[in-house]
Parts: sequence; C-alpha cells; structure tokens
Amino acid sequence: MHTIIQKAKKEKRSLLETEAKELLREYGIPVPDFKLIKSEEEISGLAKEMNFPITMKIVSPYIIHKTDAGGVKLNIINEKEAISAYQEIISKAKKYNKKAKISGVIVYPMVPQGTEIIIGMMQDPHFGPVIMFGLGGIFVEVLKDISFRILPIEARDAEEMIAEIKGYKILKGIRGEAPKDIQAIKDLLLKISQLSQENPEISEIDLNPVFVFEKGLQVVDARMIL
Amino acid sequence: MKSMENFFNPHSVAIFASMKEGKTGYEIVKNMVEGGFKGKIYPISQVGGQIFGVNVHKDYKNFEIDLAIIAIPAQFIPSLLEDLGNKGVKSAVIISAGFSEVGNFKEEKEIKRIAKKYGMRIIGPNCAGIMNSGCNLFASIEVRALSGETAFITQSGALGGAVLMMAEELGFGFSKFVSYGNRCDVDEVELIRYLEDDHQTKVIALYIEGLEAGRKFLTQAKKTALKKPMVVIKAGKSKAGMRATSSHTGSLAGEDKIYDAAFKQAGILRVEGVEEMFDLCRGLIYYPKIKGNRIGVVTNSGGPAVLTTDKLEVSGLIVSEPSESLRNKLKEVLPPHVSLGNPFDLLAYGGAENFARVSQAIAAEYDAIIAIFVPTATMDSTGVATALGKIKEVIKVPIFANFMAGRLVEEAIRELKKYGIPNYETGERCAKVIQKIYKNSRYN
Repeated sequence: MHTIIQKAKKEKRSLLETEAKELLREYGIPVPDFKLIKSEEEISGLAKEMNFPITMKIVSPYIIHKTDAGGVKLNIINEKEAISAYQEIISKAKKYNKKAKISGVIVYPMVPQGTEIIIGMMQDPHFGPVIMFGLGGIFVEVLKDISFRILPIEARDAEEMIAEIKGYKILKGIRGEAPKDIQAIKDLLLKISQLSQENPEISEIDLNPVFVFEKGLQVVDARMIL
Repeated sequence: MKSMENFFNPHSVAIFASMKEGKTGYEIVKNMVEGGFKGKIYPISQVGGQIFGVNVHKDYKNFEIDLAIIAIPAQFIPSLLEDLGNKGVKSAVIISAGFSEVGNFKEEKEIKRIAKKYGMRIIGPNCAGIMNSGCNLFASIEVRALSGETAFITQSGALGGAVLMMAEELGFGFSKFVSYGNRCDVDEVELIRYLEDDHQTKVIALYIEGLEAGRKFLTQAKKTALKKPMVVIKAGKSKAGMRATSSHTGSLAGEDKIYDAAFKQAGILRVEGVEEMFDLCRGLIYYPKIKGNRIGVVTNSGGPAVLTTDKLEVSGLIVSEPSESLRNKLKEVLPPHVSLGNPFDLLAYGGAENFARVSQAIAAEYDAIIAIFVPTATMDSTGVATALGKIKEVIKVPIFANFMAGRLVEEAIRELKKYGIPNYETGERCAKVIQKIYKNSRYN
C-alpha cells in the first residue's frame, strides 16, 4: 500500500488535496507546483519559489466544500496579500467548523485558463471501478455530456470515450481555434486507470477541473476518497 | 461442460408437471413430440395415461434422465431435486415461479444448495424453458422456434415468448433459445461461453434486465465477441439515485451509462428493441463484419435511393463517387442515360442483368452494396434477386437488399434469402444495420 494511503487510512480520512496531487505527480500527471503552508512565517520568501499570482486553499480532511467555508482565494499577487489571505482562510475555517483539524493552506501558481475537462473514477455495484470523462462546466452539470468505461481501459477505450462526447468538437477546435491536446487527455485517462488499478484502496477520484491547452494539460484540483 | 451438453443435447428428457390438457406439462410434451425430438420423452405425473402418443409415467426410478424439466408447484421442488440428485441427474430446467421474483429468496437459496450438493446445474427458476432447434429439443411452453443461426438468451420469459412469435411471422429462426429467469445457477456468462463454441450459432442475441456479475460478463463477452457477433437489448431502468456515493463522478453515473460503456468495451452491439435486434441479427448472420464505410447504392428508383443515401450519410457512412476508371467501365457496360454516379440509378434499365453488372463492377470500390428494387410492370423482381444472389457469390462484398414492397416482392425476398442476402423493408433500415456492423467491425 502506498505510504500516503497508509497514513490517511490510519487517520481514518480520505486523501488531502496535497496528497492526491503528490500521488498524481508520481504517476507523471501534470499538476501545478504546490506547497503546503502551515504558518504565516512560511509565506515570506514564497515569491522566490513560486510564480505569483497564486491560488490559496484550505486543506483539512473535515472541510470538503472549501468555497462554502471561505477557504479559497484566487489571484493573490504578492506575499503581503498572501499573508492576509492566509489569516482570513484559517479564521474562516475555524468558524466554519470549530472541531476541524486544519492541515494548512495549499498554495500554487494560478493556471492560465484552458478548456475545462473533468475526469473521475468511482465504484459501480456490478462492474467495480469505472472511469468518467467529460467537458467541464455546463457540459457536465446541465447537458450530462459524459462518457464512461469500465476499468482498466486500453488506449482504444480512452480514444473512444474522448471522441464519443458531443463536446468533442470543442476539443478539436471550433471557429478557427487550434485543437486541444487530445493525446494528453488520452494519456491522463490511461494513467488514472493505472493509478486506480495499483491503488485499489482509492474508491473515488474527482479531477475537477483539469485545464487542457494546445500543448499539455494541468490538473488544477484533485480529490481522492478512500 | 457435460452439464451444458445435457441441457442442449440430451438423449432423454423427463418432464415433471401437470399433464392435464392446457397445463404446462401438456404443452411442453406437445412441443417435444410435435417438434420431433429424437430422444426419449418421459412425462412424469400421477395421473398416468398417454398424451400425444407418449406414456405418462407415475414413477421414474428406472429411467436414465439427462435433462429434467420441472414445472410443479415451488414447494415440492426441493424434495424432487433431492430425488433427482440421488439418481444422478445433472441438469434441470425449473420453469416454476414462486422464488426470488416474489421475495422467496430463502426458497431459491435452498434449491441452489441442493443442486450444488449433487453437482446438478439449474436453469431458472421462473423461466420459459430452453430450445435447441439443432436436435428438435423444444423444452418450453412457448411457440417452437424455426431453425436458424441466432441464439437468443433472455432474462424475461414473456419477452422471449413474444420474440419467438414475432420471429415465426418473419420467418426468422434460432439455433438455441434459453429463457434463464431468476438465474439462480446458470447465468449469461456460462451461456455465452457455451454458445461461443456452438457451431450452429453464428450470432448471439441477449435480452438483459440486469447483470449480477458485470465484470465477469464483460471479461467473457470480450472473448466471445472476437469469435461471433453479440447483440444485446438492455432494459434501461435508471437506478442512478440509488448508489451511495460522495464524489461528483458518482453523482453523474447512471446505471444505463455504465452498461453502455461495458457493452462498447466488450464489442457488443446494443439495440433499442426487438425490431432492431431482428434487423441486425439478419445482417450479422451473413456479414459479421463490414470493413469500410464506403457504400454503393444500386437502384431502379430515385426516391428510395435518396432516402437511403441521406440515412447513410447521417450515420457517418460515405456514399462515395466512383473513380474515373470505374466510371469508364460502367459506361461500357450500361445503356446511355444511366447514372454513373453513386447512387447508381438504373432507371428503366434496372433489370436482372444490369443490377448484376453494376454490382460486380462497383464491388472493387465499395465496402458494402445496397440494392434497391421497386418492381415495375415489365420487371421480374425474382429474376433480379437471383442475379444478385449469383453475383454475391462472386464479388465477396456484402449486399443488402431493399426490395419494396409487400407481397409484390414476397417471392423475390425468399429468393434473396436463399443466397444469403438480407432484405429490409426500407433502405434506411439497411443503412442502420450497415452502420452498426461497420462500427463494431473496426475493433473485432
């Protein structure tokens, strides 16, 4: 069992965002550089390690809906702003859930807006682990334009599940736009398949959103449930 | 697989049921006798006597029984199974209802336990029986299947019966028919594994309401679909809200979407209903694969050809234009005025000879041909059918026919069938079948 999972299991919780991203990184999946900040002091000097503007988010196994808890701050442009954002996030989180154990605040550079996609993994009662793919935003929420496959998947399955959603045209580039990196999405699906097979303790995964560019992609937010 | 052999090729069949006229046992014996079963038939019932020229026995101790068909009230089944088990009977079809489908889970578990103790296999309970047209085994209450090359396995007995009735009207036959009901023992997975090697079966069709062992099914179906095409009707009851989940992904996953995914991964063709199932099976029997998407349409009538072309194109198939050299070739063999583009409209020259000539000439550039024929006062439709049949044997490109319509072309359709050319009432239906086979052929 992976040490990250072992630790989370021992503490009877799911993976923290930082842990999920670490696991993704081990599988060669692109995530923005990130750091877990545990005190105000750690913020000074951050600008040397990381390109601003940055995103800051609460990390706590007790807080799943981070925005509701006031735990998300975007577009922080310098260390001074980061310090006050840190204070605000921590105090709001404490108010939101008095008993919540807070691991810290994750910071990572703002990712330029790409085409939003969602990739997920879940357990089906009859078929076991399945993988989902869709375009983000209204495509998933309203139109339910998503595709599934039973895990593990082969390259052909990954290709098919990308091509079979109605929004595929958007990925291929509409109105003169350059096509998005479909090969990178295919690789990501296959890597999530492998990750799920090799870590059966993970019961559900949400990569939401993932930004896809003309070249490459970035997993901006990740959740893994044990 | 001995037990499976016993189900489908038994030398002796005992029927445990009421033999009174109109009752289940009576109907089964009738089907067995009238169907021409060659092995021994033992109706077992306390009333004795004779039905359909066969003695009804009160006692079965001295008979060797390969297959037991059971349709007695549910409460008497456990003790009967014990008896049969002791006798060494290895296969039983339990038609009787009154088990898990009405909440009697304990009772169903019990018959499963007894069967396991004796190494006996069970199909059912709560099913409509089984058939093997290859050996005239019609151990069922439903209408006897005509002989054919499609195996049909169904979770619903009633739907199975309806399909058999409809098939009879269409002249569509089956190699095997299995209604497996509550599937307390033998399930879809085992049945398709058996049918995979059954030389009478060219296509496997399934009606499924739900799978218990989805993953096992997927693994087996992937293997089977490499050998023969599989077609499935899945009743799409959505149980999306019922699963316990906390992720975003989980909230989006409807049961039907997961089944859809599984069928795609296995290379199983999913159809919406019975009519489409027949259409597809009739095509798949002759053409399990279509290698490309260029479709040639040969016709003697403009209207139907346009409708067909439209449907082909929205289905992602290409009604491609012929090459210059093919055009020249056609020019040589055809009368003037005839369209040298696709669809190839023969107009008033659409007789047997020209249909054959064009089909043969275009075969090199197309992956499938649709031949549309509307009879006129001077054209003999059966002659066109024969000509197409003969050319099909030469060209090795799938030919689909749309001879229209009704009794005008009845004889011609029979003629087409003789040569293994499926006919559809409309060209649009041809197009739909071609599209499904082609899409599936890319992988298997």
